[in-house]
Amino acid sequence: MTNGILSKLINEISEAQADARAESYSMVNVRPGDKVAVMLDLLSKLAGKSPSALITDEISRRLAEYAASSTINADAIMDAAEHALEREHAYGFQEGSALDYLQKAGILEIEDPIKKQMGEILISSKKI
Amino acid sequence: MAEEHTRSFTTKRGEFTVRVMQDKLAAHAEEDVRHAKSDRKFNIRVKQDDVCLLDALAKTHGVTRSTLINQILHDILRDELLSIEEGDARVLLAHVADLSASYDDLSLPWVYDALGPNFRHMLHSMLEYSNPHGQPPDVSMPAGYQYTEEDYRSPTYLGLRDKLKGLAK
Repeated sequence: MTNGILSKLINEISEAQADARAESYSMVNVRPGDKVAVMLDLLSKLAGKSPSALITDEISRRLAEYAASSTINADAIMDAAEHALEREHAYGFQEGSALDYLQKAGILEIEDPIKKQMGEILISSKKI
Repeated sequence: MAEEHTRSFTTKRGEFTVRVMQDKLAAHAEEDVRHAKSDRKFNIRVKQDDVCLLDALAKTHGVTRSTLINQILHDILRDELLSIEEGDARVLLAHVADLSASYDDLSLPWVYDALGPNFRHMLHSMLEYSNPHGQPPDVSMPAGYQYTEEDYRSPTYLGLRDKLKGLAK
């Protein structure tokens, strides 16, 4: 029963954190080459969306693919994960971010303090 | 004004006068401005966790964050273009985009991406038959005549082919 109550509590905390972090965006100024600029302009006009709205989610997916494409990127993924988790209230990655994709693909694993503590409690309770 | 662009000097062969035609220079300058590289900026909303990963990957590969984003943007847009199954629609979109671009001589326009397999087919056809249509050369010869390259290739092609063969040896 204890396990069920705590699991629910942890899930609620995780969901609240995910919701809060999902809102965290940065505006990045990009000056692409002419080829990219004209097509981005054209597609955004056709779709009736801003260039940013058109590609924000796709960038995350592509970035995850790019990161997963080479073992050379392992340290960069670790650095980024560390940096992302260092931020205030971070227990996981932003929903839909590249790091989230990598985690869901099983390429990246995190063991957060709450789950770690939970695991230790469960192990010690089994010993008793 | 014209005096500024005229210069006279003497060499062993006599006096030369060199003149730069100001009006024609201006015409070229306007063309240069028209073809100047785009300075268009975009503000893209990126998830903070993605910024962390972009920066880390950029550092690993020794490029800027902007360069990495540009590469990803190019890949996204190219795949969107190639996702259009109908070749004519794909080429139309690429062509319209290209009309707005100011490419330098080294840039590959979108139509190149859009044509993809067709381009390779044309390349094969040009090399095989000296025409882009994929058709055997139309040469009028008696029935049963086995035509050779010399019957349908251009003289320049034949000359260049022989030169290139010489280089390969």
